[in-house]
Amino acid sequence: MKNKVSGISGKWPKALGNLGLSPVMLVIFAAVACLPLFTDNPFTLRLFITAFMTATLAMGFDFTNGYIGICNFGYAAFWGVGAYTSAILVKDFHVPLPLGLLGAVALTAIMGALIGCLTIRLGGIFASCMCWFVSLALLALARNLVDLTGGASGYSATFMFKPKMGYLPYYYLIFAVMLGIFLLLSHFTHSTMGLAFRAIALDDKAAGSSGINHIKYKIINFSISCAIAGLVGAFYIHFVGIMTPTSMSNEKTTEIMAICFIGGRGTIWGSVISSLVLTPILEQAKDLLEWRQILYGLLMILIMIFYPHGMAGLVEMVRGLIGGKAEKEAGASEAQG
Amino acid sequence: MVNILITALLRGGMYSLMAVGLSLVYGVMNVANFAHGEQYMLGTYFGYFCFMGLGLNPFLCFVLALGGGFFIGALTEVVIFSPLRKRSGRNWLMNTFLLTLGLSMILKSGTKLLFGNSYRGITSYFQGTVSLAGFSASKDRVIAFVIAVVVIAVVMVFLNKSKFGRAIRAVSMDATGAQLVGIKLKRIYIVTFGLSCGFAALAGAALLSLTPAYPSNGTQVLYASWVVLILVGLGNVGGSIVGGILVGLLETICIQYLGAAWQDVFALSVVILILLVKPNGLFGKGVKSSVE
Amino acid sequence: MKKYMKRIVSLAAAAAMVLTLCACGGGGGDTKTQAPGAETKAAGGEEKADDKQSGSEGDKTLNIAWIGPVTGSASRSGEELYNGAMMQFEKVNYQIGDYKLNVFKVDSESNAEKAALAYEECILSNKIDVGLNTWHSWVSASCIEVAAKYEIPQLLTFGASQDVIDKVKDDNDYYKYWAGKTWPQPEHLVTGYVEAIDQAIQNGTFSPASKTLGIYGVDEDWGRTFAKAGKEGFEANGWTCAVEEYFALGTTDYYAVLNKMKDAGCTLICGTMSDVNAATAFIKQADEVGLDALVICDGLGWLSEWYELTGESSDYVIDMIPQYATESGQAFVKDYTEKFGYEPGPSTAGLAYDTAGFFLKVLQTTYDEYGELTSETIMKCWEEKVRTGELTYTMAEDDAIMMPAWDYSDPDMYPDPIVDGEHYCFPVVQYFDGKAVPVYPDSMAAQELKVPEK
Repeated sequence: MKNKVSGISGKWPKALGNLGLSPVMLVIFAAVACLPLFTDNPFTLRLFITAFMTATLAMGFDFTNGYIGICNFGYAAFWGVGAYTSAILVKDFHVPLPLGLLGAVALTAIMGALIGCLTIRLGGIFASCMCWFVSLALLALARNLVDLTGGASGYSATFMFKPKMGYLPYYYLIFAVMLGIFLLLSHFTHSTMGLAFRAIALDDKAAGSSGINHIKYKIINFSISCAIAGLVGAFYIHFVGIMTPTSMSNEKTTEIMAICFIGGRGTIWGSVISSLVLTPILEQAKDLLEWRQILYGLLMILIMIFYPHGMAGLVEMVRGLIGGKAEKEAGASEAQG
Repeated sequence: MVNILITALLRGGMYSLMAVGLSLVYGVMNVANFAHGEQYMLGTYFGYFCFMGLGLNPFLCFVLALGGGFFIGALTEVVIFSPLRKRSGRNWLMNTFLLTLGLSMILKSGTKLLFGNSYRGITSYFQGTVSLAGFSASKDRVIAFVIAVVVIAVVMVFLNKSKFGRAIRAVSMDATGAQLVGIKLKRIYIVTFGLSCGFAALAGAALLSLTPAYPSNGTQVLYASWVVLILVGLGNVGGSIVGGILVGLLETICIQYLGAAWQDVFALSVVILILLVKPNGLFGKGVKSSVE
Repeated sequence: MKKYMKRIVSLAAAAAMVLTLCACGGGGGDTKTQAPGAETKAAGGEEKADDKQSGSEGDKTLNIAWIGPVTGSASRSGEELYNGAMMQFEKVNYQIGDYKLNVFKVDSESNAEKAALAYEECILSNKIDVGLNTWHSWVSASCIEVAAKYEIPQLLTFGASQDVIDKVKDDNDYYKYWAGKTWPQPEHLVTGYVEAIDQAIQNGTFSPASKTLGIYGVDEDWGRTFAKAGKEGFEANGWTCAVEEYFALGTTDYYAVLNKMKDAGCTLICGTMSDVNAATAFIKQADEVGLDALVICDGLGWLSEWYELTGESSDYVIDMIPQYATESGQAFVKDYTEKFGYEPGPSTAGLAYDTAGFFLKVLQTTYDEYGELTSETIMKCWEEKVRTGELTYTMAEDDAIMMPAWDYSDPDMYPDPIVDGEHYCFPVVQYFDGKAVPVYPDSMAAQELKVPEK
């Protein structure tokens, strides 16, 4: 008996299933958590830190895109706002770092709620473009408020951990964040909130008539999604040390979107898998220069045409092939017996 | 006051020309074309090579750019959109968006590989300036404006008066219904996308003296076109002219009183406010569904 | 069954593409992609640059990391920087003493995070000993941390960021590895313009109706800092700033702003645009609206196709561009053009050529003095010889082509080089028919500053 929502067969404990921890995901998380035991190559660690950040961002993006069906095309701007907020609070206002992170999350959550309000009456592409325009305006603000943000040269932030400590503290911190967000979002999407989101995505007027307050849910969704972006942004700036307005542009959102879609929209775990797989691959392909962009574009096109469910769909298909065979045999033996 | 109007008009004309193709393809085919900027970029290369390489008359260059763009658009429809259309259901719009995004990456990087990174520009097609109410504007700029007006007028006549044009409008209203009355969808789609791409390329060629040809010059154009499109509303082609001029006006006013650095914030804020009041854009009629 | 076949085929196609990506990228290195649940191996591929290494097959190698924008929007600059630098390396056959020089290209992609990641990867995989150049200021900001962490001397970086300067000045022991900036702060360069204009007014060539200034700049680091410095410099000289405008990257339509400046009666316009597209559009359109003012456009000569884009609108425009003043400079231009098919931009290829020359001189001196080339000895040479002024790079002795002398011995100016007429100096030039004619200072001037007739 398959759990329809998480797609995991009945033998697996329901509690874990509802948190998205299928056998596959559990193994992946465990493997990645143990990675530092097998290698102390700083580059590998740094690469996976990047992969974790991207995975978390993709999950946050997917929460809005895959579940209430609005593509927040300005997502990277919230990431940037979170970064600037935390950095400015810590450096200019001498706020202790954890509070700086908190401040970033709070501000982006509020902004997310505002965006949710702005897009309430808008449909599909209009909502996406609204998000996009807001992000363009935020970008312009970041550039123009030179005294606050350092303008186009960027803002230099203090580091979270002392350089002597290496990458391990960062690694485990962002891993914890990624895992935490994963569990949280999986929980939400398997709960009644998730059902409400799906109903809204299909048709928000119909959802409204069955008693779902689509305004409330949209706002909650945007708020959570943008808060995630803010959190990752704050981590980013205290890890890399600098943020510029150009970093928070469209291109960053496109990268996040690509990871999300290749992983499979509407599945939280798809984003994790695709980030962990693609980030190392794309890094290795750096030598290809322009060809990398071309192949990247081709990959996106081919996946859209032939494989719109992304990697999650792939895993499902494999599962289906195995499960289908087992069912066939079960059916055949039943027919015989 | 007059100078603001003239500047806004000229700038707005540019935006309208850029946005017309986008509007067409969104209204008729429900495609969110994010490769629009790159199609413009290809137009600038067409214009450059025809004018500098072959030494042709500028108007001929424009026509060739239009034709070249049409060909590329038709090809894109046949090779990329058709297969996708069969497979997507609800997610069509989002898929086309991602598809065109992928396409734009390929076009940009491919052009860079083929032609390298240098800027290929011209000082002007037509030398000299024109005097408008005491202001001087380059001939190129004025001609681009005239082209914008002519193109949009022609498109509107075409859509309203010609048989094929009306077939296109039928499809934009209801594709299934149009099929039922015998309209061949495939042909409509090819022509529409071809035209859209052609217009983008024409804009690129016409504005070559303003934006030289190089691989990344499509990004600004993409932004501007989408702002106009959203402002005006779902597939309203004639509205592109109003939208373009409106955006041009907003920016010019801002430059005059607030400073050029703020024009993005200002124009976008106004657009956002307008969308709050009119969620389907200024001229948009009704919404197909909450989610496309 | 047919449906499965289709899916499997498309799956195979996607998988093939993904494998192609890693196969090409790996380039013989030991790379494995991560399958779910499997352990990962350390991802370290070789990143050899496309250089030719001739010379004897010595045992000793020196691994050099070159950082620059190979892809991305600044890739043209990156290309010129690299080509210019490598021409120096070819002159010594990639050999210093009995050390073979291996140059590794680190692609910054104009992105701070990606640059730092790639830089770190390069250091670890290729056992980098020393580094040369960066381009963007934000790339310097993130890579300085990496250099400090691994104690790699990174010499002669571009990118004028105040944060980087502060770090080097404040914590000179941890950040000493970020050795030498090649582009001084704008405040030091602006005085040239102010003095040149003042001189023209004093001797009557330039008689503006009023000293009204218009300031403009592209909205990014250099644009803002330069414009601000320009404004302060001229205001101190009695000019009033009537219009101050900044443009987002990618803007090419200045019709409205130029009309605004014309209305305000500006007689002098000063500013900078970071890319040739924007700069040339600005100048053409200034001509179009009939703006009756002297135009300073700093950096117009950065890329070599600018004249094709402006035509005669660029006559009388003032700039400050290093010139290929010497015979060696002219020879460089000739060689470069023959080799690469276009003329080298002085602010990219030309400066890169000089910095690479200085770099190699440092290496040679290190080798001669200490007998071996390592991070430690190179750093020592920099501190003991370069920073004391004992080791400089000059036109007279070393065939520097862009500057009279590169000298890093002034502790107050460090990490900037000394900026004045005898050392780091950009002459003020004026363009006529696409040629830059130096007009100030007198020691480098070919003619006086000219003002167009009304």
